[in-house]
Amino acid sequence: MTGPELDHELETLGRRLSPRVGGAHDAVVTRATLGASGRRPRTAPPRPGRLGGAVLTLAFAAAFAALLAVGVANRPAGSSPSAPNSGPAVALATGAPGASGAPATQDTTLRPLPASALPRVVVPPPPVATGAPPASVGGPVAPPARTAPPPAPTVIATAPPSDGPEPSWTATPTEGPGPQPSPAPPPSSRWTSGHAPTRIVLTEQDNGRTITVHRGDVIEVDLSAPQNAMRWTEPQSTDETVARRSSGAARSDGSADAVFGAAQDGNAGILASRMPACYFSTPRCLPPQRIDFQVTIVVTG
Amino acid sequence: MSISAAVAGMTAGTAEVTFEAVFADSYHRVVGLVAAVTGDEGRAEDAAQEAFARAYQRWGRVGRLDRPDLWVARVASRIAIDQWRRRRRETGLGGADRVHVPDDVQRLWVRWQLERLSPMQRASILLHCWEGRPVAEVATLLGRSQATVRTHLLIGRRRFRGFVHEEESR
Repeated sequence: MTGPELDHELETLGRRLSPRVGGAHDAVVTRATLGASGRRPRTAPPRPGRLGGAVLTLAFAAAFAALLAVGVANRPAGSSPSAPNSGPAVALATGAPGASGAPATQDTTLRPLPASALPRVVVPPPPVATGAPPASVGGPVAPPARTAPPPAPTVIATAPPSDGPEPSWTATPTEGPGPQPSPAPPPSSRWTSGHAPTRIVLTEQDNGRTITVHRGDVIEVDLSAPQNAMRWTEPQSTDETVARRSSGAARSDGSADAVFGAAQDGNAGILASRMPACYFSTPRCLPPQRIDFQVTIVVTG
Repeated sequence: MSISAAVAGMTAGTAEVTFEAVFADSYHRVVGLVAAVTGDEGRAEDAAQEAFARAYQRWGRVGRLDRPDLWVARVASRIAIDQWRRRRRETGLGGADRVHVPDDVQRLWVRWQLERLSPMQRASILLHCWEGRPVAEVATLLGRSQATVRTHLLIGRRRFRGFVHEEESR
């Protein structure tokens, strides 16, 4: 036995098994990066899904209070001097105008804005929109203007004037494996509100894109379950100082989501991979890792 | 001497050796080594990439070693052997041996007298022969005692001789 002969045979065998060094290097770096971030202690608040029981309890309590209030309101006049002609209690509790149209002023306590109340922006697929305004403000889902190819290299959508600061985002398709111009994907762009901070929803259709956001915006990554028994890993940020993850999870049905906050100016990547189910079991398998979802976030003031 | 002159020169001449240089130079060899150790070429790439990923995470320390590629080879071999043992526990004795061994790995085993050995014994022999490393160094690389490595080498030679006798008596 001689070392060089064995060395040559091992090299030949390795080249046959894994011919692409560049792809392997990327996979190794990704694995190292994701592995390092995966060991970081979780500081994110509990996911809303885990609060399902509390939410249900609150909803039940609110519904019960509403029924009680309706019952009180339907009493004959004079039977309850404390609540004459008052609107439903639930309207008072939420601070909304009462049934009579008078503003509810009893509840002046400031409450944190729930996440669902933030304006949601779903980034449209790049090839569809060209120059026309792709969305409307404050209304239901509005399909973006569809025009025939050639697609514009840059998609820019800006919220029309509103009372508050104008949220805007710029989506620039990169050379990554983004969706092709034809057939045109279904419309997915919508503005539901013009209030800041803007909430931007990214799906797997936005893979390979560059998104420009403002500080304070919220970026939600929602990756639906793949078809082929694969599962998404939890989306990670390559720079937590720029795109800070506040919550996220990879669910057993294969889907994954994460919420990032645009913390400071700079660039950060949001990465996720599709892995076989055995990767999530114990002991886990070690499949070749690759990046299946990558979006670059550019945060500006 | 099997390591390329590039990495050898880098490690000998300066303390600056980049992860990329070591990866480009030794990746294929480590994948081949792991496949030869376990005979499971499907998992060789995974084990090698996992080992390189660990090296990447600790490059400040690993990069200062005399031979970073040997560190990776050792870690990859240990990962592959641990996986092999785990599969054997889960599927019963000999279950992991039922993995189809591809022809080129089989040829390499026969040529280098590795066919009837355990993965740890193969790793001992391959590291001993591959780099011409003395027994003491192979023992350090594998985290085993020198006596264990000597036993592995001895068992390997004996089994190979027994295999040759069986073949000749047929």
